[in-house]
Amino acid sequence: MKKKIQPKMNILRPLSPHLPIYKPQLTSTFPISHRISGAFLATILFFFYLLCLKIGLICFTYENVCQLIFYSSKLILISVEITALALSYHIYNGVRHLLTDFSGFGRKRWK
Amino acid sequence: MATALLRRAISRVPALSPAIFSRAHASAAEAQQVEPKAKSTTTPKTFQIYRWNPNSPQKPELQNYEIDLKECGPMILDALIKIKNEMDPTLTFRRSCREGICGSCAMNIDGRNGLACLTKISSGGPTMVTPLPHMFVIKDLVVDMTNFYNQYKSIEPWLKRKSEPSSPGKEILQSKEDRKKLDGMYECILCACCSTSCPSYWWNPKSYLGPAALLHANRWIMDSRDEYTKERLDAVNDEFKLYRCHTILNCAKACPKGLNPGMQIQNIKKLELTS
Repeated sequence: MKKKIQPKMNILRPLSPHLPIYKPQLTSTFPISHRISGAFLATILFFFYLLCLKIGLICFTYENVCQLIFYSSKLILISVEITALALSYHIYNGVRHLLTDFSGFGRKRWK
Repeated sequence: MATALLRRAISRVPALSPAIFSRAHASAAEAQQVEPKAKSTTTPKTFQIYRWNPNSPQKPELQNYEIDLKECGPMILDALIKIKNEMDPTLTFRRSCREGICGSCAMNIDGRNGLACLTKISSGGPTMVTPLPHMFVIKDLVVDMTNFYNQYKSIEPWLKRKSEPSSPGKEILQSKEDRKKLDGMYECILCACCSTSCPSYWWNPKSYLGPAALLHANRWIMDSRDEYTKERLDAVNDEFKLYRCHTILNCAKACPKGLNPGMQIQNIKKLELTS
């Protein structure tokens, strides 16, 4: 993204480097991985909704449906473990976020 | 996952620099570099400094400078001034007080925002010095701060009263407890380290006010002498102006004066709930 400064100079100013050079810190990696894990879980839930809830939860009594889900998850190498990691991280980080956000309610700093 | 990708990207930048980035002033820098290697008791230190000249059509690049740490002060600003005096007079950067109170020398050192006059030179590998992130570069390490200052002006950082003061012509009195509420906000030197470290401010620089402006907004909201509190809260109560803050809290990490803009923004959000 560039910006013109004066017509006669006709030079577009560059944008200083941000993402490639900024050192990733604890404060910055927690929120972005919370968002990424949340998006990941949301897509899984969405496909679960499309697949199972539209057909009806009765489908789980049918043996082949459970086999289909088990073996299709095995197509991607450690997908179950990654999903478990994303879910646990999202929950822990969400609870931590809520606690830190509402930790200041006891003090008398309000006007 | 994201951390590893970013770390690999950062480690890749210095590795690529000799191959891809060319040297603009090769002869002068090389002539200077011969001298330190000839001496035996030198501690050489390499700085990779972001260079861009608006008068030349080249792309911005990282230029290497090697200085002897024994003949240089301890701070990054000392190294920059030494490079400008002895090696390359065209190196451009802002500086004034050299003691961490004016906020002019704010820049990104080794991936973290800070004041050059307060950041010690780390011994060891090369140090990368780039301008404040996601700002338009005027020249070398000097960035365009007009947007930042306009956002500060937009929150109206002055005392506004509706009624006459109790003793006209004299100071408006304030108790010690009320004055204590301003601690942690009045010390801000507007260096822009916090705002330019916030990823939310990177992606919405014009619409999101940024931690610095919001810290000052809270400073005036919390001031007991100011009587326009409700109007100030309503002015900030915007989807973009305030609520682009997702409590990433990079600002608190970056502040060279040790302030916590994130906490002040949470204070504004809490006050918005009740008002």
